[in-house]
Amino acid sequence: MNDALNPKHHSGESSATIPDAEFIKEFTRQQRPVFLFILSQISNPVEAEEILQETNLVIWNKFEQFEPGTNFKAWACQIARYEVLKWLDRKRRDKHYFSDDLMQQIAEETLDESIEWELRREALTHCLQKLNPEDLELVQLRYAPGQSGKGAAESIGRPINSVYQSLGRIRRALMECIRREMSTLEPGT
Amino acid sequence: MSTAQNRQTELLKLLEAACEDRLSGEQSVRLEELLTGNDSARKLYREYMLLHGLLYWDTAVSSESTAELGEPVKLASSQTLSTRELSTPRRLKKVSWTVGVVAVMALIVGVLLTGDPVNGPQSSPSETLANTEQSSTDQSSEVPSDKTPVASNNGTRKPAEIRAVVGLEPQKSNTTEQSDNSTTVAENSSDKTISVGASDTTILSLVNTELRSSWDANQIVPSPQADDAEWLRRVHLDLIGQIPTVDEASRFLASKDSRKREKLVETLLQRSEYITNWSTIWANLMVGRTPDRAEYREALTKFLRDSFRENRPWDKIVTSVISAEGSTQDNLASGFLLAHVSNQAVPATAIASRLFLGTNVQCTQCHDHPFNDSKQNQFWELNSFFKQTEKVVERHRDPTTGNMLQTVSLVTKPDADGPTFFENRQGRVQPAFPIYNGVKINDDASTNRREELAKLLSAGEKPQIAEAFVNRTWKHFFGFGFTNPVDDMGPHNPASHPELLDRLAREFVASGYDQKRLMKWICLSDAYGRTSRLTDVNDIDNPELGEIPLFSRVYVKTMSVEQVYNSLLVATGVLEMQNGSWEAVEEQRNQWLQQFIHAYETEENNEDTHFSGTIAQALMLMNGDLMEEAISYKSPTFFGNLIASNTSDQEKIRQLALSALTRYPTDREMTMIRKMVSQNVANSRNGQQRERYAQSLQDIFWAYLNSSEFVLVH
Repeated sequence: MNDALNPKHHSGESSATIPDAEFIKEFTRQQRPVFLFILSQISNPVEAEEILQETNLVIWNKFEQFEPGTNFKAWACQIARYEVLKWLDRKRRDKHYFSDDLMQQIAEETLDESIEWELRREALTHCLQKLNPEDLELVQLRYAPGQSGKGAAESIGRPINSVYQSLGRIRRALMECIRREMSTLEPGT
Repeated sequence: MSTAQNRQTELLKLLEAACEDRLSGEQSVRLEELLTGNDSARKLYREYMLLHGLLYWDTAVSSESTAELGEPVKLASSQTLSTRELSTPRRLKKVSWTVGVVAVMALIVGVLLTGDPVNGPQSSPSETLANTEQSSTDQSSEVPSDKTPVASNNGTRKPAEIRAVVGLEPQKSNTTEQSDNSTTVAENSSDKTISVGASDTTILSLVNTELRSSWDANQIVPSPQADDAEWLRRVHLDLIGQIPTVDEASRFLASKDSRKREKLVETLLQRSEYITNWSTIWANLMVGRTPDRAEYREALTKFLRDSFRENRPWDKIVTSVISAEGSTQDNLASGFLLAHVSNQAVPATAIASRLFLGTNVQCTQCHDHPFNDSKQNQFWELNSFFKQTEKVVERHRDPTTGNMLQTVSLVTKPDADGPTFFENRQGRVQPAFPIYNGVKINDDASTNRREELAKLLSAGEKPQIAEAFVNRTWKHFFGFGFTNPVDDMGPHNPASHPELLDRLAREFVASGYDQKRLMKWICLSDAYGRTSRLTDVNDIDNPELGEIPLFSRVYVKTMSVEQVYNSLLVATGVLEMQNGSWEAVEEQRNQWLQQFIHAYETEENNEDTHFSGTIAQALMLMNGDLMEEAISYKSPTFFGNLIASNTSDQEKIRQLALSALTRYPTDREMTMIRKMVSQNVANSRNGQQRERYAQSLQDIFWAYLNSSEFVLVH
């Protein structure tokens, strides 16, 4: 096959259009939602971030396919969904993951809910202020880049089990607090 | 706990594990199961993952700037007291009771419930999480005003505020103090290098240190020490299955001996009721009360009575039960397997594994998911040890009476060898060889498999039977075990205090499986000596709501039917009236208890004991005449004697409360009761005052016995 006759390859090579500012802005804005969307299916944030990177590559390569004016998040999540599936195909051999059906359902429901994420995020910010300094410190330590509960325990020299206990307690408290905040915001739910 | 609540607890646990990437394959399967087709479970899952993701994505950054703004929040004062006191009393069956009794009962109920989580407005985590709307109004004034409509400081749970208050105790602990703390923890944990076989004092301080460090780690302050009366009642119920008598109580409460708690535990461990209590507990667990197994239960109970009387080491008890041969006449311990060996020894395998090993394998024997292959194998491998065991029925004629008699025996078949076969999930028939804990024994006919199993069960430094026993015993006293449920231990259900459990199990082995010593370590521990009441500062320690138990207080338990029965006998003094033998008392008790037993016909021979209905019903069911006489002022019982005595009204009322509830009446109770009694007497016709007076006190006594405080082990 003659490479020059392959139009796709050719066009990709020469007419390298660059995404416009609007696209880049949307792209940046949707990083967090796409990450959260992936995490809903993967639960491990480090892995979710890897998948996000894969997703970003695809988004970047396919930017021309995006029709301005349509929902960027939905489009990006669709790509992410596909990347999750690809990733699962590789990983399923070593570890149990939910069935495709359940994953699909969770993905759909997650996306449906994504409109209220921003509110929930604000609520969380608020709730974090209410944590006492020690708890806040632990949360920050645990969620520092590349960190884990285990690593956090090691770095402060506390028994790992008690750190898990504390983190569990703090997360439950935060979740409860977010729920409270949300219910005051939307008396309907 | 309702199943919904259990599920919620389980779900939260699994989500926790998922966030820390320590979800086992099996747990992941379970999580999938919980989420499938359950909208609210999935909602919780999504919320949890969102929180997890947000924390990862931007918390560390965004919170840093706002951390200083965290406003101090005042703790809401306990405003619940007055409303609770007016809570509706339990409905009374006895029509003749005066209105005053109702008021008194309301009062008694109120006293207990103040600060008591069990009967307070109970809420499952889901309710607490979801049910937040009503809360915003009452305390909003206390919260420094905020632009956003802020989190109501809901009365029930307020983690942030609690933390804020607790945080004040270690003087706004700064980072240096933080590191000081962690070094103490590290030092403490080096205790573990002390070789096992330590003295009671060392072990006790170890228990105390371990628990304390988990309180510190979770930043909670434990409940205060229980007063003598609370502790006394609890330790009686837990160790000997009944409340203390008036005499026992007043002696203990009056004693100034600084070592009186220690001495009391020693005394209780020597009581005959200790034997009855523990043999009953284990007979219930091992055989149950189903009438068709009554014969086996009787034999096993005798075996257990002997065992607990001698304080026979636990591993020896397990060995006897597992390797028993012959009929119940030949060997009392054979009662256990005789009751469960039918149906290919499936019930025997399941129950032995649950009770002795603390692992729940029975569900894997029939239903299944991908990760249970190994568990399914394990079940059948354990089952394979029972392959040679057979129940043989022999009929013979009694030479003297000529009646036909029937003897059932456990027999080891002489020619059984090879594996057991079972059908796996794919429908293929698989062999299972007798393997326990990775050790495979010879599967030819010459090996007695059960004897080998008995040896394997107690082999090694820390056999699983020790850990399972420690866990279950701990639960008996604290209301929650290190794992919950206690008989589903394993990597999928991590222990709340793994180091402590491990150490206690090793010490228990080193002590020669000495149950009494284990109970001493628990009963004399600092944690067991604390009050069961929640305080404002440890109300996150609430395993009823699915939290990991921290044992910063003793959780409230409901009395077992046996405890209710025995305690009623103690409170009314009926026992002293009866001169019957132990067997006669036991027989009567069994008859009475039988009505609470509901056996489910499952192949695992499960059963359940329900205690429903009021004490009044219980009292009536309980040998009606006897009981009526017992609380009648005309009888020479505790009550009758008290009424006839020359003591003051006040003292009589004090004795009644002490007898039923192991405490003296509160001032309020006293005032109300006296008012009620004097009104009743004043309103009665001439010549009837005396009787009216006695009747009023009888009503008071009933009210005390009928209170919910009576049926709780707190």
